[in-house]
Amino acid sequence: MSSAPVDLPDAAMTPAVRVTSAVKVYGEGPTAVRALDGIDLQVPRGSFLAIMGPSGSGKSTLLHCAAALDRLTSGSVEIDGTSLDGLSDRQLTRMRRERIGFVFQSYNLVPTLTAHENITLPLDLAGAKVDRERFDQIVDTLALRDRLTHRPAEMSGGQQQRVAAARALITRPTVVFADEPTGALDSRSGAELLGFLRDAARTVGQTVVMVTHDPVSASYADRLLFLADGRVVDELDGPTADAVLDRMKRFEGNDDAAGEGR
Amino acid sequence: MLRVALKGLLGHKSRFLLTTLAVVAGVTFVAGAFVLTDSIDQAFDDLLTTGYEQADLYVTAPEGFETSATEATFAAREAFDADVVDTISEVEGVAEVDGIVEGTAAFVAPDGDPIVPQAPTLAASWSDGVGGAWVSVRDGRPPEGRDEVMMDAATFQRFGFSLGAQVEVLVPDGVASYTLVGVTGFGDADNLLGATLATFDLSEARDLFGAQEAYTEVSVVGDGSIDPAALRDRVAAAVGGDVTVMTATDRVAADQADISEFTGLLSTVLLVFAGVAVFVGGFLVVNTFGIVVAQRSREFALLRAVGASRRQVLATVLVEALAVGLLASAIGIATGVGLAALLVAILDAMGIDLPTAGAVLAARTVIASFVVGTGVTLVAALAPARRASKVLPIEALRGSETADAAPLGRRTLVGAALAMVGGSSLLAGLAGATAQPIALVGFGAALSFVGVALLSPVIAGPASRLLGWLPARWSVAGKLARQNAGRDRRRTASTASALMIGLALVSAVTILTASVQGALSDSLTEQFRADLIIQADQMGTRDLPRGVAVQLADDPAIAGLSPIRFGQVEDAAEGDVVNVVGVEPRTIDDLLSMGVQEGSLDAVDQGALALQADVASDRGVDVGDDLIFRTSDGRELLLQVGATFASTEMLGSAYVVSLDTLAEIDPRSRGDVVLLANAAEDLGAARDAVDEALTIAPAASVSDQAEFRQQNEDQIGQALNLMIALLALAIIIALLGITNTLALAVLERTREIGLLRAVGMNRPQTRRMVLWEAVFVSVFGALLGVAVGTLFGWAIVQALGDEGITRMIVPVGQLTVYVVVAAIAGLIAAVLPAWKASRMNVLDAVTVE
Ligand SMILES: Nc1ncnc2c1ncn2[C@@H]1O[C@H](COP(=O)(O)OP(=O)(O)O)[C@@H](O)[C@H]1O
Ligand SMILES: [Mg+2]
Repeated sequence: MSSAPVDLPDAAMTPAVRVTSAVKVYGEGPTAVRALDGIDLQVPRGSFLAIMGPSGSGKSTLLHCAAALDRLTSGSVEIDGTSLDGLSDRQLTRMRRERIGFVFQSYNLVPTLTAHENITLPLDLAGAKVDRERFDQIVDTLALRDRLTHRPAEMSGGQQQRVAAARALITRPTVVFADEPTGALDSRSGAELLGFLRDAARTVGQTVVMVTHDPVSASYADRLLFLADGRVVDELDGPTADAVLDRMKRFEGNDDAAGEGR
Repeated sequence: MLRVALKGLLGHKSRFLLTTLAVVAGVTFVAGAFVLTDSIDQAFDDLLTTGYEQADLYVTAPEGFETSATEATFAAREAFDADVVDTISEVEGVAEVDGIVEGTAAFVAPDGDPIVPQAPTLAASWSDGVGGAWVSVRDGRPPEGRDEVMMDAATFQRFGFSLGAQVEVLVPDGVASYTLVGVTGFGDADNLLGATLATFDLSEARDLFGAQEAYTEVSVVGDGSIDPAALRDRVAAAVGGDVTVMTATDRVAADQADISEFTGLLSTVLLVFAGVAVFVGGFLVVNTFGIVVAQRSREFALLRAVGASRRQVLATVLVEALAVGLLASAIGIATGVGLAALLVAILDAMGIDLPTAGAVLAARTVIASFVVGTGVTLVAALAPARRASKVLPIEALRGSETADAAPLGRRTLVGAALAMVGGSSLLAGLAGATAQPIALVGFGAALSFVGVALLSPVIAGPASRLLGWLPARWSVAGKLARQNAGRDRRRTASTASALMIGLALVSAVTILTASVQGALSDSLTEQFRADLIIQADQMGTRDLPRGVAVQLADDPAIAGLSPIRFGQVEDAAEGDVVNVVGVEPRTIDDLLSMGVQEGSLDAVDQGALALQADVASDRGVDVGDDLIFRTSDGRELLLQVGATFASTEMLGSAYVVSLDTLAEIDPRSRGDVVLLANAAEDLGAARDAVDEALTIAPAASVSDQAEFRQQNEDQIGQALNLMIALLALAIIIALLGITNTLALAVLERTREIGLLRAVGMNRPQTRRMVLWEAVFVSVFGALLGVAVGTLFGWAIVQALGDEGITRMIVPVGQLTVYVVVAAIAGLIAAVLPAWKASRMNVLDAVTVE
């Protein structure tokens, strides 16, 4: 990776993502919505963090702000020790290109490009060379070899999400953000994808932050945060599906705790 | 359902903005053409009525052959014996009789240049009787002696003359000096359609225009005892057949007919270009409605699911089209009135002061504008509306990516058929197979365009792949643009087709012009031998003063000299009026190679006729045969064919006689229009001699071979530029189409652009992606246009083979420039959509449902 805006001396010690006193307010005056209400958060390198919470609790907002897709009202986000504060559009674009990977719930791929082209898209946009070895490894791990020349319309939902994951990983980003990546998948395809993300974290130290509403999905993570009304209300290390369900029952007040996302 | 339609329209206002604009542009030209010509007609009607209403009857020499309307209107009439005034005043019922003499004369501006506007330079004698009532003295007084003159107000003001000053006037025999004593006007107008007017004292005018004891026009006022028509019959009976007697009403109608012929031509030209603009606008309508229908197909499916019938969905879209058409027509009429005013202002700036009667908005104009604007919009929206009505209710449930999978089979077949029918109509029209060849050519061209537009999706895919090959290797933006251009072939193709039309017409005209230029250049090389050519003026409406040829004939620096004169005579056998050229047969062949085939020019010198060889063989006449002609004053005469010759291009007529013969067969024949001269030895000396002779003719010009060649090329080049300027409207509308399509596409691809931005596309890359797509579309359209235009050009040149255009010249360089310009114009058209795409909020894009 070339020159970062700020180079910290001890990069290994800085967390991949640090969010400090994050506040996000939508709108103004009486109708204003405080989607994030003072969130502090650190994601250590190589860890897999899951975020849960009722619908409207601010999960997507947090993810978007942390991923340089949106700006906070106050507070700060640092990726790899670099603050996103006051970065120009050009600099934000570069952050997204080089240090951040994405997997959205759906519509992850450019319909006119083949799987191969979609995977290498961030590199092509950056004018960077494709690391053949890494490409092969990712493609083989995700079992996409025989799909490379296909366009999104010719692939199943699971295949499409795997292509999206491959694209997110190809640039060796500091962190991969995923917003309900299995939301549109059947359980088997979902499990495959989550397994892959977990393995990436465990074997190559890929940091992953994932929003989900499914306890089983959350159980793939190393750590789990619960959000409600824009605040972190609870957390859980090494969550299992049962432990998650247990914990969710405590939030009686929010009837649709495991609500259907948005 | 109506509510649904109007809501749909209002909900997508911005999408229809450019479409409306395109239709407005076309309607503007339609309305503008009508308003302009109606206004001119009306103004002239007023002017003529006030000009002629002072008298009841007008007496003139009989008219010659009615061939060129504008010439007939302004050409001075023959003089007739002044005695008729006495004869007429004795007729019972006549109260006043008054005559004037008319001719041509031009003023010389204070800076020494002759004032020769793009209009005639008229002259007339003054009369304070009814004969002079058509002009009014605005300032000063009428001329009272032979050395005094009045000037029209427009010239007076424009060149800053002052009363009492000496002015130089170009008269038939040279330049003469007069004291400027008065300023004339014509009702409200300062001049007559740009013409200048010099008003002399009667005896001076008679001298100048060779009308001793004669008049060119006599006005008669009745005493009111009988109506003008009856008076006309009485007067006509009294004066006999040597003169024509007309009532004021007939005279107004006759002059008005001449003017209407001019305004009719003007409106036809404007309407042709308006038609092209409207046609191209139609493509824009097809495209916009097509895209919007595709984008709203879920909405239509939902309507169908809740019980709307097919017809109702169809009607929804058509009502939207109707609303767009009505709105655009209404705006177009208003802007058309503005356009007419603008054109009047432009004409005014060019020195043509139109009498102002205000804008005339006839009911016909309003109706035509609404019919055209609404009709085109409705017809163009028909196909998209049908597509909307075919949306199945089930599609409401399916997420729909815009699908381009539908096969093009039937469309391609229909396209090929239309293109073929169009092409053959075009060829048939060019070949003159019907009574309305121009209409057939237009119809054929329009049909061909529709055909090619229907065919073009088939090539749009491969074409965008080919065009995008290099940019795609170069950058991701280029690659994505290439994919986007090839994504919806119909859309790309119809956007490009709109541009194709303008470029095809421009290319065809360019090829035609180049070929004409080539043919002219060839005939110049082959036939033009004169060292110098002297032209009376660029327009060819004025003659050279008689003295010029006389002086040059005696000049030792000049070796050979021939005037060129034109006259007309009726061919008794065929019944049509032919142009006859008068030359000096002894020298003409050294100046202008005629390529005599049989007989000799000596015979022509003796009074025989030289006939172009093809015409001779068509008519089956040989040297020695006689032909019978009828002159404009009704005499029959016999001319023997004394020679046949090869070429007509330079002479402009197949009938050539000596100057003396011309004077005999057409007494009204004009003076020297052109003089051709060869230098005795030194070209410089010859030129000096000509310059000297031309001091009495400052409006005339002399050119050597190279200059003459250049002049001709410039003239043709100017005609081409004018055509391109008028076709630019169609091209601009097509560019609006590119802007529109891309803006809609950007809107449609919101999520995709957001995704690209999320994974690292920066703003410049986003912009470039849209810009590249525009370049692909515009270059595709331009190439298609140049190809179709080349075919058209070929067809036209082929048809003109008889006119001496023997080979088609394709100016590859110029056509390449057009494609490059189209690419740049496409870029400019895409600036706004590109900017919008790059400014799109990343998050909006990602989270859009
Ligand atoms: N663009 C927006 N404008 C206004 N309010 C918004 C916007 N996006 C989200 N919100 C509000 O912010 C809160 C958090 O939304 P979100 O982060 O999408 O929640 P989650 O993803 O947890 O369901 C919600 O109350 C939502 O209505
Ligand atoms: Mg959400």
